[in-house]
Amino acid sequence: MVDLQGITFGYGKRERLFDRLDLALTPGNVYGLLGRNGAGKTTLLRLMAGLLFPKEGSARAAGEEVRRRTPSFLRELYFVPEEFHTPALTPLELARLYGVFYPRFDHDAMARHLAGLEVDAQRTMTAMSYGQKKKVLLAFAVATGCRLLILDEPTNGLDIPAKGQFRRLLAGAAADDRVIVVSTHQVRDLEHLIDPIVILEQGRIVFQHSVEEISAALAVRDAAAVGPADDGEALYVEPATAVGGAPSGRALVAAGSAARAETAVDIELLFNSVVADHRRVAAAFTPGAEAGAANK
Amino acid sequence: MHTNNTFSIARAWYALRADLVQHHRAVLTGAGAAAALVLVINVITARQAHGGDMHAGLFPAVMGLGGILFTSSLFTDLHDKARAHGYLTLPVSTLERWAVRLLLSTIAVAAAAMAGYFLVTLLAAGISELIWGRAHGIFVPGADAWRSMLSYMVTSSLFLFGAVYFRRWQAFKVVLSVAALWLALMLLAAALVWLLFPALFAALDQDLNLSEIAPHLTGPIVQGAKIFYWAVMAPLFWLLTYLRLRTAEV
Repeated sequence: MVDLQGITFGYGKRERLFDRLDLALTPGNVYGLLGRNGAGKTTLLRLMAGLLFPKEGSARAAGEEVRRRTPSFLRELYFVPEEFHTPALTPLELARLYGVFYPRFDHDAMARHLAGLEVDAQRTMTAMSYGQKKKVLLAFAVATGCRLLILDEPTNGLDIPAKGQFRRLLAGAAADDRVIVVSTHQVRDLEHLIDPIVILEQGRIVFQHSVEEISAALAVRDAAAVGPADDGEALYVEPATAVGGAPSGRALVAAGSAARAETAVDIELLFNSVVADHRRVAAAFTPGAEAGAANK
Repeated sequence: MHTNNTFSIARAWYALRADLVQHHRAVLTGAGAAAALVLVINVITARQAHGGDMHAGLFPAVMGLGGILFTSSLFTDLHDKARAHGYLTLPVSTLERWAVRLLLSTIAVAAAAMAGYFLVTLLAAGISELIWGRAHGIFVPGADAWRSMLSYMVTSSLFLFGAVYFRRWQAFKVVLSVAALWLALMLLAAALVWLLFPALFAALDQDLNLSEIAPHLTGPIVQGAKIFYWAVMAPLFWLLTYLRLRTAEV
């Protein structure tokens, strides 16, 4: 569905944000795109959508070169950016005015999603809060029936109940013929929903695995039980954050290492491990790495 | 299902409708202000009305100024990061995106100006008759008005390109760019004449009657400028606008 090959891109003439980046996204998945601030997540999403043009390489989606921005591609794409503008329309007027551009737009679904997100469909959007406006755009995005949904920081600005509503909306939107790409800093908001996990670091995709692969290869243990990461058993040790009482950090270990796993991997710990040393984490995914990781 | 990726009248109509619905308030406010100004001028000057056609000067001025300001603001959504995502990912072709804005800047402005101006002068005539017992004539578009409209459409092509090219202060930057280009061309022309015909400059120190030779020098230039203005300028800047739109990024 999305195929980026050899993408080189930078905003300045000399600066290179991406240098020959490759990324392939297949339908039926909700990709979680993670990366530090400034890693280029939003830029990568814009390159996928044909909103930025690579200096070198090819960006294709839905079988088309995205920079051409053809109607046949654009009607399969809906992009919810972090910063957006909403016209002085009600959500229902928005659906009537813009739904016509999307051949599979479902007005009933739009009404259902708005109700599920507790948005007043008759209220003008300019009178709504940022979070409410975002809910309207998310409801619209899902109702379009587009096969490529790109959501940039979708949970920013949503309150706690709305995050739960959004998770339900996104879970319902996942389909076999659809790719959903979610860029987020707030991984806990989308845990158990994003799969596979894609991590962008220093202009490259340094990690791309399904949750199943991650669970098979990695696990979390009490840091005290495995000792410091330098000892080799742990791939990464997260410092303790407990306030009062005994501090207890967590460590990411190779699932097949000598130490037995205690809990499933959480994405935040995984992310921190990958950005700390992605090669070390990657080694746990390669055949024969278990012994290597244990002996390191 | 096969999709026509070049041009679809239905998609262009949807895009035009979306533009009109989204921006109708701003357009109506601007048009209302212009209408009020024309009304006041018509009523106030009606007291000394002497049968001259004031619309011959006022109509082109109102249409030209209003149209250029409107045209210059046509691509503000392209230059605003929060709005550019929505504008550039709307499922229409670049040709449709371009055609809609071109239609708005040319035919829509001209038609709205003509109809609006006619209605305002009609209203102004009624008010003036009531107040002063005399009034300016009602605006009836004649050959001059049609020529003004054509001239506006050509000139607006430059401002349409300015709207897609410059991120802010589009109209001001277009005027400044044209002035700078004009000055540069004059200096270049003077330098060429100085290099190619040094005797002419030497003759300037003597008693040379410039008015005798000026028509021979400026005639071809004026003719060339007229051809450029009426036949080349609009298609050129419309094409440049299209090309810029096709390569626009967020």
